[in-house]
Amino acid sequence: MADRKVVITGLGLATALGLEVEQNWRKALKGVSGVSRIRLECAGKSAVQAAAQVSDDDWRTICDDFPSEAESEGERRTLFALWAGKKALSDAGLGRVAEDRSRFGAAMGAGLGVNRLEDISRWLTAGKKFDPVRFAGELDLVERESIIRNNSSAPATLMAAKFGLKGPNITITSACASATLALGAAYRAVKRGEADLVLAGGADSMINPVGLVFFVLLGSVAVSKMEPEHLCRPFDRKRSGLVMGEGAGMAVLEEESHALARGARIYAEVAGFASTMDAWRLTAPHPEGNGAEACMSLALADSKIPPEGIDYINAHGTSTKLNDLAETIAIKRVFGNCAPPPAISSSKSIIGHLLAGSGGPEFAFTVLSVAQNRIHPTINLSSPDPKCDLDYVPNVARERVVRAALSNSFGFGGQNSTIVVRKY
Amino acid sequence: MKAGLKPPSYPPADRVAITGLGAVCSLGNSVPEIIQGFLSGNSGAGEITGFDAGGFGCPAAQVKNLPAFKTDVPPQLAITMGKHLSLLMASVDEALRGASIDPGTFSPGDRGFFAGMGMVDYHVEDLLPAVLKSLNRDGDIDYDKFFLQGYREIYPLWPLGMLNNVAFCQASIHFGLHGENGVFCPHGDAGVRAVFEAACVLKEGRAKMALAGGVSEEISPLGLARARIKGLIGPPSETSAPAPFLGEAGAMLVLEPFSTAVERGASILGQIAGFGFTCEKSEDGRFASRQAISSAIRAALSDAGLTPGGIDLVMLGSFDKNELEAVHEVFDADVSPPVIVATAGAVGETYAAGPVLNAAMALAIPGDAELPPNFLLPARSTGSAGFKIGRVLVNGISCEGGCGSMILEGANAG
Repeated sequence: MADRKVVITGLGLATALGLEVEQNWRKALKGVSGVSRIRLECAGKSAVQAAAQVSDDDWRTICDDFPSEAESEGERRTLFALWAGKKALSDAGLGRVAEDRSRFGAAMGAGLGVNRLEDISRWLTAGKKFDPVRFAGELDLVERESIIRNNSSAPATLMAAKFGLKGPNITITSACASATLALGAAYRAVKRGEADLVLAGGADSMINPVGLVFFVLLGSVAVSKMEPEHLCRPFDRKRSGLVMGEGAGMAVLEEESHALARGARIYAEVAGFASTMDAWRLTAPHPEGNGAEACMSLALADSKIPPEGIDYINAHGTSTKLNDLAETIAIKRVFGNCAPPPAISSSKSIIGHLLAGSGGPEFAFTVLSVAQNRIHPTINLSSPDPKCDLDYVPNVARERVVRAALSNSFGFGGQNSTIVVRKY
Repeated sequence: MKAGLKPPSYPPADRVAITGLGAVCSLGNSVPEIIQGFLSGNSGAGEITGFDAGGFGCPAAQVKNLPAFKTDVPPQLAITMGKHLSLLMASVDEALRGASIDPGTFSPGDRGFFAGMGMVDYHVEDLLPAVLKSLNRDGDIDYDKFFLQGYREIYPLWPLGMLNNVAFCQASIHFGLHGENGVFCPHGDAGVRAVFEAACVLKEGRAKMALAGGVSEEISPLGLARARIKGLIGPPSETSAPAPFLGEAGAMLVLEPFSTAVERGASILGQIAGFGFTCEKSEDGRFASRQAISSAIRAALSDAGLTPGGIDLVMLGSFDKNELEAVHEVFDADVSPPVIVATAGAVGETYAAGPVLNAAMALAIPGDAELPPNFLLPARSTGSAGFKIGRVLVNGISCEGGCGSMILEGANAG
């Protein structure tokens, strides 16, 4: 690969913690949970009653900022991506489309979109059958947020159009690994010389009726009666499943000399990336974390940083029984001989699981840890699972020199991705 | 090959060989069947079966009689995953067999896997029982009913089938693929991206073999609706003029570093020569702009170290006029412009599968074949007897603006 360094020059976020990076980071360091009682009017009887939702005020702010897209697309995932993308470009000093952007690209991890039951019920016959003929004649009645209107590539292609990004445009759909895979694709596109800059990250929102039952059906969502803010508890003995979040996290990945030439502020460097597959089960990670271990090891090899050079791991840390244990085993196998061992924390304990978008905000937090030598805690870790016996930075943020860090994302089905961030 | 062209410069160390091809589409369930159908001038377009598509007023090129592929996926989940799973599995299987790769040929971690995957739409019958259990007296959805009872009518693994990486992950389990990977989505440019990433990881030494391919969407009411809303297919027309239509397909290439392929005695069917990617919507917002498409083609030519005169065959990735105009813009100054083929007229718009299917077809067409006149542009009264395919440009275009171009060198390039 060409000897080009890739640096991070901009970050943008939209999460339950807020719409500004600084605000998100401040709350994350304080361990403020973004999880609250669900605010979806129709979901009163849903088994899922907690989620890390972007506030209604913040949603209105986003819609006001992108009125035509809010009108035409309507769905939250794409609007979150536009907001975070705009913020990341602005943070990188690229807020105005003035320069030639033919070598600027976009890479997004995005979820499957919104399946709406009304897309069936509206076209039922008297005999309670779906009438595809009538449906075909009334496509203008399809809800604007429906997957029929907004497929997975909508966030990346809309960002390209909105921000004039005329280079490579990549959408990755690999469940919870999507955003980190997109960041990795962006890193490699810049490193290989395919682009000078890529706006990359992920966005998702499944806080809609079908989305709410999605993980209930799979048995992987937390449905306990615990207070919402205590429900997401990665690595804790009382963890009972993932807690959905929503939002977006975007970063500007830029070739070093390009960034220096325009005087950009540099947060950190992307030092390596890898992806692997468990090839084990569709419904569960490998119990010994084989795929995750290989992924972290290969990412380290790509970065040429030894395990002892890693001070922090932003874990996938879903708060599910299977993932947290498999990830812990995998980390032990890679970093077991390190003294001191890397600190580990789970952003999902604070902002919930952004699903396909999860790697986006988690990458941003990882970058900030490297840049500022501060690590946000894993909250709600009050009774550690004896099998999860690593240093997860429980409940209180920590100051520690972070020379380099990993961000892990492991997806449903067995796709794994790890990205390495190094101090610049 | 055109007169005056130098033979290709392989085998340089960083070149990537294509050693296996697999494909399924409306023309056939294997690459040889597809080539036979294509060279006969057949079109796979026909009346849509499986549901009443009369309201859409369009044909489609569906894959019918696809042989069942045995996996350990629970039967009901396999039904939910539908053709997405079977199109992928069948094309991977054919490609690996063709490349003489068995489970012991490479270690699992050295096997990369990249695919462009079209969107997955639910089958209405998967959710209909839940909808019916959730209706109020007015026939609207009552979400209290849905959350209390309705959702229980949904098959518990249904959500997995909705993730368009799950068929991909099942293929990784079935074929023992543990290495570098990526699922790109959902249009033609995603198929080109999959081949590009596979080629790159091989050049960079991150894998010793990589599968790269694409899978279309399954023809369904939802998929047809999305295509119509996006402008990929037009409204019902009373004219007899040919109109764009959707197709179903899966296609896969086996890629290896040239040296590895030679070392293990693999048949080399072609080589990867170059790529280009851009993104820009046309002014009317319905497709990629002509400028974006021509820029992607020029970038691929530059990456391959070629001028337009080095291309023998262009395989279009769409039905759109912007693409044809961009091809003319790049190639018309050449004294011997390439032959232009629109396979979409035979197999339909097959999304991420399209460019990979075109690549497989280009590499599998016999050197002395006569290309069917009805799929040439401009249409000819006769085929192209004696034409030998050397270097091929394959485009993958998204209606949302993404453009990917790749150049392959066939066995006749030298």
